[in-house]
Amino acid sequence: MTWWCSATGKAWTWTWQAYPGVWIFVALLAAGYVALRRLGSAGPAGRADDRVDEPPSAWWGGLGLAATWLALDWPVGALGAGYLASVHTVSYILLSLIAPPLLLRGVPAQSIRALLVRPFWRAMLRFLARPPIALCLYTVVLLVTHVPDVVDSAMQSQLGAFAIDLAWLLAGLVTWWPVLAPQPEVLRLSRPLKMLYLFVGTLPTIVPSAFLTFADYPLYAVYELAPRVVPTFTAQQDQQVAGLTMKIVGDLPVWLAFGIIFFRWAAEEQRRAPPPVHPSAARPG
Amino acid sequence: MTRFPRLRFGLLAALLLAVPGCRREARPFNPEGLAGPKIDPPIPKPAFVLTTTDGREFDFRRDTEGYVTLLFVGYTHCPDVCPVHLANIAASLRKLGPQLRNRIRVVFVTADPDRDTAPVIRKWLDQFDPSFIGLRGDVAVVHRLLTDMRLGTPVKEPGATDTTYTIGHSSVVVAFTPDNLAHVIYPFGIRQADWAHDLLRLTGAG
Repeated sequence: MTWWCSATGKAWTWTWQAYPGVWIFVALLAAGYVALRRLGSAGPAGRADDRVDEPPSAWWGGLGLAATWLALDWPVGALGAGYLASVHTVSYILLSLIAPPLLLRGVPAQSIRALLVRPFWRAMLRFLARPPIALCLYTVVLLVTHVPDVVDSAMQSQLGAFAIDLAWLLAGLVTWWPVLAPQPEVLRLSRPLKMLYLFVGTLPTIVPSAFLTFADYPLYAVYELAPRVVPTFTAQQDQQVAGLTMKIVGDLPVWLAFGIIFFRWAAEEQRRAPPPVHPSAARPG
Repeated sequence: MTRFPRLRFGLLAALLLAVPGCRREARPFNPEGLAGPKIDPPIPKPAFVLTTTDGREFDFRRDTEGYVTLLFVGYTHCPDVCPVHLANIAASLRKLGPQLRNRIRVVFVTADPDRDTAPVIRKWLDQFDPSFIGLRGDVAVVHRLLTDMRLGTPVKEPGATDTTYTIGHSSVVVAFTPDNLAHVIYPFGIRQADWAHDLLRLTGAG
């Protein structure tokens, strides 16, 4: 039974395929998200300094779930698992760089506060919110899940492909946590430090994207030997598109977050600055 | 004359050993270290005549004499193996450069002459490499050729309609060296980097 997208070696067809494992996974994620929101409404009241920006909306979480579903299900999930390295990269971007910030943004501060009451979650959330820890985890997952032998063996089985997808989503949540953690007792990272963290976070992708873009030969057997989806689109071109997509498109969500933080910081600084002295008021009487 | 008997013997032995070394064509090809599996005994280059996509007769033995020749029997409607094999060979050839490239011939023989007309084969091969030679002809000739090379005969597998059938066929590319023997074959799964490495060796450049 096919429950998760993996490499099959069969010719690609645009006929829709069902992947019930993906539906169950997204449904469980949605149920967890709803439960977390309910936990917040029933838990301790929020504090004034909980959320530094505007209040979270269920829409953010909904968009995060939609991005996750898009990455995992047919056609993106199937194409990425067994046919095109470029689409595999799109899945990576959706799961690691787009869905996690949306999901985290949609979690109310009270929900996290309710979790912080429990010692295990408190320790875990505080540990993962340390920028060096989060960056190390993200880098290790990014590099390991792009090693040719790992990809070639993992994508051949549904369980292996599931493990890679799950690793990307979890690594993404961990990576974005220091930026989006809403509670001061979890992390109080200043805006300039958040921007620095985001910038440093764009550096690890240079390694796999450079290998993908500049390799003399296709790196992954799974994509090199897959039946071609578009006959004139070679395995090498596909890999080059994958490399460029990882760096150019993959950095966009990070730079978007960087820009938002920067402009909010600038606006706040402007509000704090003393009002300019009017020339007439300064004139000696 | 008796002062350096060992030296004279050594020089004579070296001369005798050097003579066969000068005759390059006589040196047997050593398939060790190639990515493709070794064939023992090697397959002799088959003798057959089919028609090229521009309507000329192609005598396989005569027209590939002196070249490294990759022979592949497949069909243009093949959904998986054929296009991947040919795309990977084409990509590897592009890396070799024109000098080595000109010492290699890639010959595609259709196992499906009913659908694979000359223009269909030409258009299909051109998307990989315009220098690939496409051949078609009597199915009996193709079947005999495959049997001679111990590669089995293609089997027609019915599809949803009369024209959407598939053909089960060997996924092996047979590589003939200039000694008119195939010491090595390439089943499906050979990567571009392996092709590039082996083509260098097969042409004697690597």
